[in-house]
Amino acid sequence: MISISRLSFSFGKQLALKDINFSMRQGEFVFLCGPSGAGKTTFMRILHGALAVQRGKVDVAGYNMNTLSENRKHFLRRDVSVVYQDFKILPDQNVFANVELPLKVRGVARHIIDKRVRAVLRSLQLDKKAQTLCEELSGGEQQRVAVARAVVVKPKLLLADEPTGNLDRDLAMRMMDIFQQFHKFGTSIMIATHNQEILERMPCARIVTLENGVMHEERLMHGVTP
Amino acid sequence: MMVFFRLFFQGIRDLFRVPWSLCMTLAAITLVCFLGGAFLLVLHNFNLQIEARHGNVQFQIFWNTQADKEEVQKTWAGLSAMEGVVNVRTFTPDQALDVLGESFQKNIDLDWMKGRSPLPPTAILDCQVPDAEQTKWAQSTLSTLKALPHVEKVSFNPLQVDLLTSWVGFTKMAFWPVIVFLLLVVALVVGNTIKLALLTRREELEILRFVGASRAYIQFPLLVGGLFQGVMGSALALGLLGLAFHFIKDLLNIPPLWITISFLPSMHCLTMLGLLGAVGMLSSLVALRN
Repeated sequence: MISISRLSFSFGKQLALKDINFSMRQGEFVFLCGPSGAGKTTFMRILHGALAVQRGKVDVAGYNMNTLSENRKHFLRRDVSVVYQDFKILPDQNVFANVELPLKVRGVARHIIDKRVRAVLRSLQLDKKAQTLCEELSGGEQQRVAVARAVVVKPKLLLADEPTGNLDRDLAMRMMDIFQQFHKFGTSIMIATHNQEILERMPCARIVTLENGVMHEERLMHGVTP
Repeated sequence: MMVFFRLFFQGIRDLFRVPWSLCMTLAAITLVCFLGGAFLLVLHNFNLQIEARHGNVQFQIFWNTQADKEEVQKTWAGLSAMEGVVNVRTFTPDQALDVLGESFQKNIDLDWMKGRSPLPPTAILDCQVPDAEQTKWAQSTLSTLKALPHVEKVSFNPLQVDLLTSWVGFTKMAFWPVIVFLLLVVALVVGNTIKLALLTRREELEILRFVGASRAYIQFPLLVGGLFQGVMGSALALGLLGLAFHFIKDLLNIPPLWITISFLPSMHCLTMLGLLGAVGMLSSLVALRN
């Protein structure tokens, strides 16, 4: 699903990612751990095509990120969904409109959109807020809208940057259950987090650690090294 | 096809999300188009007047009142054979008196002067101005007419030839630069509005990209927005021009001009709508490319 060799990325003179080698198989569940400023978001943005590869070779979901032109990036983004830390939802539109957006841009039929959006909203306990404007929602609810929008298209790969950051414990655990459900249906998932509790909830997940732009540790929960 | 129509209407709907910006842009386009339309209207009516007169000039010849009637009539018979002459109208002193009486709109009775009219025998020559050497031709015709027997005076306004020549030259010279200038102004106005829309909707467009929208999906509504602004602005301008026309159409329909102003032909109006729509769309495309 993901194959990266010798990836480096810098903002001006500041090196954000240093010589990273990484691979992820289809159907894998990966936690990307590390402190703030370690380069997790930069790493995810490269995987989603929001940042161009500067050095190294990156393949995501069958797309060569080194050669993928801006005109063709939407093909990648239809296979790879992302939940950003700042949610990136439309505040002046309601929950339903935000969640249906990726289905609309794919030209999915109206009745299928309605069915799928309602199902996802129900699973994230947002069904009663479907017609509420997103700017009127709490941070946690906005985060759930972002997650709903990412999973509604059943992507091949789901990237989530701190998806439980604004949620209380119960909702965070519920969110992880939803990710687990999608994982069971074959979606590859990578979650950037530093929440130890959710790491423990996914004992079979693989954990990768980024620190100062260096991916220096890779292990499975329960101490099994791949 | 459904997606096409949905995006088409979304492009128009999106414009109304920033109504003030839309109003200002439409006002600017409308004013520029109104200016262009008014210029076209003036050109169109000038051309109509020139066409109505077939680009002719007139010579009016007055004979001596004492001249022999038969000799004058012999001269009249030869006038139509002269170079460039397309129409000859002749007036005996009595006929001239009738015309004079008509011009008073029967307020004054001149019948008592019949048979002893003080007016001279007169002829009016309508001449087609040749394409080349117009001034030379006018001078030579004037000399020939003055040399006719018993001719006392020949009236001719050399300005007619000069005006005709100047007008044709002016329309050739000024038409395209003025139209191109006005189109450029419209393109800049629409282009700036689209750029403004791109700036205000930057986050929304970024989100659309993130959720997998293609470039065409994002850009098509903006192109439709440009098209709509161009067409709407020119339609409003034509409406305004029609309103102004309603008030001025009979402004020159008074003696001695008797000129009725005509509105732009429908083909001109359609061309204006199409051209402005295309310019709006093109400028949106340039704004998007930048």
